Amino acid sequence: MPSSSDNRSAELVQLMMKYQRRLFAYIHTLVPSRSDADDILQETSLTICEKFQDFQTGTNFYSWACQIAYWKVRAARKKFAMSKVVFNQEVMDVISQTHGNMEEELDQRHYALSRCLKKLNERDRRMVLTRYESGKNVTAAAHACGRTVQGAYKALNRIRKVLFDCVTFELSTEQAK
Amino acid sequence: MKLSDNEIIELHDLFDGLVENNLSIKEKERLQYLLENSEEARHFYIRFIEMSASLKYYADELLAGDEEHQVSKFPIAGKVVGFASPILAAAAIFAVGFYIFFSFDSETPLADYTALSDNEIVFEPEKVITTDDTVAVLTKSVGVEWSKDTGFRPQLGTTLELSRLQITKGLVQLEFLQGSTVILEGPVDFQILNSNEGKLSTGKLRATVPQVARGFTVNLPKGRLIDLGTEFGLNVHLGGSTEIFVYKGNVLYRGQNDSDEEVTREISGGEALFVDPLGYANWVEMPSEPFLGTADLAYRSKEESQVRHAAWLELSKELSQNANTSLYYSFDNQSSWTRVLQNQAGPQKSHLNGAIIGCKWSEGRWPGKGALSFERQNDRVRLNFHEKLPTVTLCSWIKIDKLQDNISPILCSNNATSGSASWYVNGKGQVVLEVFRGSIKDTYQSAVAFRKERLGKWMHVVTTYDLGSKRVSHFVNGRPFSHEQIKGSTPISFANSQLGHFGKNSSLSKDIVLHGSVDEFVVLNTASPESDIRRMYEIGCPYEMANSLGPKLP
Repeated sequence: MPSSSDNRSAELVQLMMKYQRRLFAYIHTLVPSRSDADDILQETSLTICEKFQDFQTGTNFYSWACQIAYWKVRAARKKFAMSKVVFNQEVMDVISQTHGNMEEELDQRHYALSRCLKKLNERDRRMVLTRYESGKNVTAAAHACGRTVQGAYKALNRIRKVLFDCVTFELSTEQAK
Repeated sequence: MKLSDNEIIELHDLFDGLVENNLSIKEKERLQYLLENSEEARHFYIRFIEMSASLKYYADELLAGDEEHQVSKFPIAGKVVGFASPILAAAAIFAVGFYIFFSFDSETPLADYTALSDNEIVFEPEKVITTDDTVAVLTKSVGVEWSKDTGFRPQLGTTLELSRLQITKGLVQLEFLQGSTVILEGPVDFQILNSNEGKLSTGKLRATVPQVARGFTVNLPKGRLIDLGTEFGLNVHLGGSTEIFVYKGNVLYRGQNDSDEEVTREISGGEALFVDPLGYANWVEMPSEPFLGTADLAYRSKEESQVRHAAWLELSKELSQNANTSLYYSFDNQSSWTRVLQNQAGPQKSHLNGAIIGCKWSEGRWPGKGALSFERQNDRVRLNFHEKLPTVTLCSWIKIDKLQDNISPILCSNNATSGSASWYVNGKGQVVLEVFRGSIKDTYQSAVAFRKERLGKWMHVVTTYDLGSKRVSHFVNGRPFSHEQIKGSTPISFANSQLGHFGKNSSLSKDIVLHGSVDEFVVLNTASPESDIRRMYEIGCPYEMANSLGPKLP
């Protein structure tokens, strides 16, 4: 028979697996730099493991994890003070609040995006996915698709617009059904 | 505040600048103003950034080669499929519902995109740290058997100084620092004279010489061949005769015959020259049999790699089904987004799943085989292997990139209670098993196993702890390395432990992370005999056995 601590470990693993992507997305909205968001996610995951005994089974894990993430972002603000993309506290607070009301829509947008990616032409798809691979940047995406770096910036701007509009359209079609 | 069309366009550009980190201070202030004062702008912003996060997710998933993505609560009729893979089935314990089949048509060019990351096992010369004396790098090898007479048996990725390569069988590819690529086919005797020159005494050679390396020279028994920017093949027979085949461009042959006459020939693409043992040159037909080229070598190299990988998959299956396997992380078939390391052994598999914190998924011993890289301070895999074992075999394939001053952790318990154990490589490169016996810490360490030349290479490390025979044994790359008498009679445990990380709550006062990768980890509840360990190594070794069993092996 597994002990209760084993069950808790399994529960933690299960919850982490389920919510890791959404948690990253939440952090990313508060910390627009992807690598900084990655670091905060790591810090947050660590604290979640350490504090998991305080989490009450049956309550909302995602909200609990977001609270930890929020305080991690606040604590890291000094570290990011030199970053060009850090928001002030007021903006961060209103974003966090707004985010809390959009969970369901954001999940649907995530899945709709997979369909929209399929609709892109091959070169654009390769360009945008290369750009977003871990450790890759615009220069890497430009090289992968035989474009200049300047051309890649313009292309990525266009592709993001196309994808955004496509996702919005997909959702409106779903809702119309 | 309702957004105008112009503001929506403006916001799009601001978000774009934001994710690319190239907003000016003024633009940032404008963005902050809009976000603070317009709920619509905030909704727009959150949707946009979430799309960015999702793109990262899909990009990493594709990179991992996965075609199936876990989806819950998303009702898309006709696109929802059940899952059959046993690996995914394990994950299904946690998942709420279904998997969506997320695949781009295999015939669409995205398949090419995936192929781009599907590299064969090669070493890229530009990534190899070279010293001033380095003149070439051994970048590929297939089926190599080194001559019995030679003590120099460089491994894949080895940087080469002026040296002599004697091979009885197989192929190697050398990349000279000046730019030429040379493939040697055994039996061959070749000397590297400098970064743009070699000497072929016997055997076959094929060279590709880019313009930048023009002037690449091969010394032959009766002369020398000077490249003028080309591709050519050479075959020096045991008796001293030489065949020269030029595929592209021009080469210049200069030699001396038995009558002390100078022999000079310029050979162009499609022409072949035969120089007899006395140094006389004659034009001959190009052979119909193609000389071995880079593409053939790449194919054979990849083929061999696939054969090795397939053999390991069989072993992996065997390990996961073995009744004596208590814990098994194969690191295979896991997507790059997954933060759960799947245990593949034992009746209650999921209880021993590990929680991945920080570490990144990377490529393991073969293309397509997963591994976890540990790099940053907090990188670790948490697990709770509470079973107390009087007899245990710990096995792992690890690649250490940098030896820490004190410890490169493999699996370390955070507890300091009796029986709590830690397994690591210390700063000297010795494999260490550390076991608490009451308040005493018993340390069992091998001789030095991880020398400088072994860093950055996959190594098989095994330690057995057997209270029955009262012995701890360390094995490195399939060979016994040291044996020690066990003090006391404490069964060992890895409760509250971490893979690739030494916690500050353990016997040390600070966190230490492994600087390297792990791509297989097994715990058996028996002491495996040497023959079994040797077999695990031989099947799992990604390199040429002849290379890795050179005389320097510990």
